[in-house]
Amino acid sequence: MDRDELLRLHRRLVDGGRTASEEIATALLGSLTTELSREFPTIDIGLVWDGVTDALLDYCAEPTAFDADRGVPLDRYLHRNAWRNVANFLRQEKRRKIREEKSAELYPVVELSASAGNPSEDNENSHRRHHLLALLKDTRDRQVLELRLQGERRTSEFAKALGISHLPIETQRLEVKKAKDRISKVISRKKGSNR
Amino acid sequence: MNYREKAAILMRAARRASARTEYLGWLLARYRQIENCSEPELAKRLGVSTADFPRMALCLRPRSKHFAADVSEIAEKFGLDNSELAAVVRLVEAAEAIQALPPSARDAGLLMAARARKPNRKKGGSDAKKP
Repeated sequence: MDRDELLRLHRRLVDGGRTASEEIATALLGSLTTELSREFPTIDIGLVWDGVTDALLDYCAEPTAFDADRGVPLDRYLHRNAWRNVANFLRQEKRRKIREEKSAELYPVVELSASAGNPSEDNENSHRRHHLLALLKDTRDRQVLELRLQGERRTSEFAKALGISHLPIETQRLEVKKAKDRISKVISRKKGSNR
Repeated sequence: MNYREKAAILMRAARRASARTEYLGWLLARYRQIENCSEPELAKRLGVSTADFPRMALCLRPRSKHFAADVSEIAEKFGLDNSELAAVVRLVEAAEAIQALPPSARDAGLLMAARARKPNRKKGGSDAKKP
């Protein structure tokens, strides 16, 4: 699709056209993904896909953020935003890995629970589980921790435990993350003070 | 990029659009949740092919002020029945409106809707006609 055609679609989008977003996405998803995957050759292609997709979805939801008079073509504008998204994902991924490493130190029970069948290890795990749960006073926090110790990863299950299943999925994710972080902090603080 | 890769990225984009309230994909996902139906079932109800379903999800949701025109635009693009699409959108919007109420008002509204009417004996209700 040439740049004049893209600009025409942009104007349709600004004028309130409901289907122009689909046409722009269909036209640019492929080419932007190919470009970005060349620029970030070593990272998971899924992150590139999400970076490109988010750039397109953000723009289509708020098309006036793009100013055609500035002389930057729409595809370049979206490329720049997608690049920024991918770079942010990479930073978040690094932070997540660090958090996971810390969390692995905090919840050794999860890994140990894989050693089912060994009665002495099971007893030790059970003891540790009770010890960690006893550090939390709030029932919902305890349910969240219980789920984490069981190896649960689905946001929906944590949302049920927190009683926020009715909220939009993005809000659920945020609230679940907040609860997990809060619990981790409480545990590390209490463990620290017990030492 | 080959056809399969394009289809895969389109699917992924549609999934991400379903988490954003501005998109039709969000409405379709909410509808599936409310009606407990699968994507192919909803596609069948709307009369859209499963290949076009992710593309449809990338459209922006109809605006309340331009509801009829917006629904027509989307329906025309994908060869859908206007009324079916309008019904899907309206159902989700109604559920959203109820969800937005404070819990006390929400419960009161539902209780009022569910309450059985007592027959009006004075004004000659069905009981009054009985011998």
